[in-house]
Amino acid sequence: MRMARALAIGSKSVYALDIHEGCQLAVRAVRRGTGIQWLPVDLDALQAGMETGAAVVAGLSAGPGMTAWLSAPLADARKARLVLPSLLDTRLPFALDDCRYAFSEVFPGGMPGLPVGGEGTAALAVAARRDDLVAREQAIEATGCRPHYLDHEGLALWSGLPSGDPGKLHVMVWCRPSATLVVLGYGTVYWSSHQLPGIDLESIMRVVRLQRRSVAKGVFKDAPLHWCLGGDEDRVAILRADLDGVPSDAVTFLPDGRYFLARMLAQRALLPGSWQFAALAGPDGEALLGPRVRRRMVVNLVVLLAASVLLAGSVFVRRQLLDRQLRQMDRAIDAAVMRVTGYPVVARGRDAVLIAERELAGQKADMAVYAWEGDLSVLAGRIAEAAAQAQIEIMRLRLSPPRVQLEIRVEAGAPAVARMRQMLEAEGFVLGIQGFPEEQRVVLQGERGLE
Amino acid sequence: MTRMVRGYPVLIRLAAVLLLFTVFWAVREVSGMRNAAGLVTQRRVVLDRLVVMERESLGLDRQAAVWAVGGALDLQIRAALSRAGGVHLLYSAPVSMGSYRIHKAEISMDQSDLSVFLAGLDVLQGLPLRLSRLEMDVGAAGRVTGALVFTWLERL
Repeated sequence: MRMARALAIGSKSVYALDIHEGCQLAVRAVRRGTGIQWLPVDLDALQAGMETGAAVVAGLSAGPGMTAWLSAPLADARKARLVLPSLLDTRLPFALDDCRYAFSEVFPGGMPGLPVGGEGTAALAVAARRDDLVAREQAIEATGCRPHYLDHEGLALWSGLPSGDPGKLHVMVWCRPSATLVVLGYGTVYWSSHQLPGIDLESIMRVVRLQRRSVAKGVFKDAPLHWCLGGDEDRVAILRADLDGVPSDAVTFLPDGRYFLARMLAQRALLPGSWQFAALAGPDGEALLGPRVRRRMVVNLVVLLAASVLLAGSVFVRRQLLDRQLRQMDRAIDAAVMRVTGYPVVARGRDAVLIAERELAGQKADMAVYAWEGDLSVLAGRIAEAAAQAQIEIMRLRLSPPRVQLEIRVEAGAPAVARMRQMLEAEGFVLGIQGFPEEQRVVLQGERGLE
Repeated sequence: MTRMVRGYPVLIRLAAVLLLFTVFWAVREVSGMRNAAGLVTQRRVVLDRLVVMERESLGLDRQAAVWAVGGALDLQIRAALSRAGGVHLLYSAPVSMGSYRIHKAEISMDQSDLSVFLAGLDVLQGLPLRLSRLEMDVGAAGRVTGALVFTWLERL
């Protein structure tokens, strides 16, 4: 069986109330790892604890708190869960809308110990009329305590079953000064709860006989009984005496005396367990949370939301700032590219820069002539004059800043070539000479830096 | 019903999911921001390069300001070039450079000797022209052929 979560979600401590006619018991329990520590308290201490925001759980007796096993002819648990409210509606003597209800997990129909036979699936329902819940709350409030939620006493008692011997029918009897609670189940499977007035073994036996005969078409009618007795010590003693024919190994006394039920209510509030339902919360539909837990959860909620908003906000702002910076830089790049090229460039980024570079290189090449020291035409005149003086015949002249190429005939002789070279070097050229004897020509080639 | 009474934990879970989603989104955004920061760095490098280019461009502009001529002088230059005695006169498409335009004209020459070839340059004396390229070849009979490329700047 699946374990249901603790009923007082998030609480580390609770007060549990067992209040009935002639009986007002309270315990304070604290969760310690996988168990609880508890101690009896009086109602004054409980009221003081309530003021500090501690959660309070109280029991709802088996009369107004109804439990019923429902059998659905569907093998699929999900589908079965859908029809459970309709099945419960047919079983309740009230309108379903007037009740709070919940269902256990869905069990396969053939599971041993189930009080409903047949194939398909089965589930335990717990329900209570809203008016009964209000009445119960008001009755408890009359003692000065206000429960934050109610738990089913029969199920709470069953949660405290000492040992779920699979081959036995367990009869748990909880004795109060004025009433008796009888809870039946087979093995660990809960069957039903019965609230009986007074304490009367015959009434109890009648319930047991009826259940054995009727449940699952009498399949369990011969199952051996195991008695679990608890509650008011005097009445437990009387009951045990009445069960004189029952051997001692078929009787177990519940621990903790009169506080056992209150302890179980507290345990179910604090720890996960089986047969735990969240349906019997306060009639106003409040969550099953103590005020302190609720406060803590609200703080957590606010912190989580604030953290989300803060994180999202800071990331968003940072992103916006970066995007704006990028846009500004793009605009600056566009403007700079346009200033260099002289016209708007459609390309962006590296392409735009490449275009600007190419444009600037072209401009520099075109303007190279203005960076040239002196006039090219004057230089051409000087070269022609120098060649004439040295009696050198020019074959080819190329002047294109910063390069010069002069090709002359070789008959001029070495001294004449040297004079020509001297003249060009005096003009600032760094020269190289190449001779082509077979073609009878010499090529002087060089470069001069720009201004 | 159960869901309702357990409303707070559901809200807490929703808030936690929201926070997780926000963290996930933020992590994605942070990686996006890292890219954006990389882009900013790249653009800064580009801008630095453009600043240098702009400086060079300004230098060219200052140089051009010395040599640039107005529209009227531009016409005079074209008239003089057509009288230079070349075999062919070819104008290139002008190139824009900031607030100036670079003009180029190529004159092909075919003269009896070098002195006559060079004398062609004299026609252009006094005009704000620069000889930007000179190519000449002297043939066996002393005949000189070649081309002269002149450049001038027009102020816009």
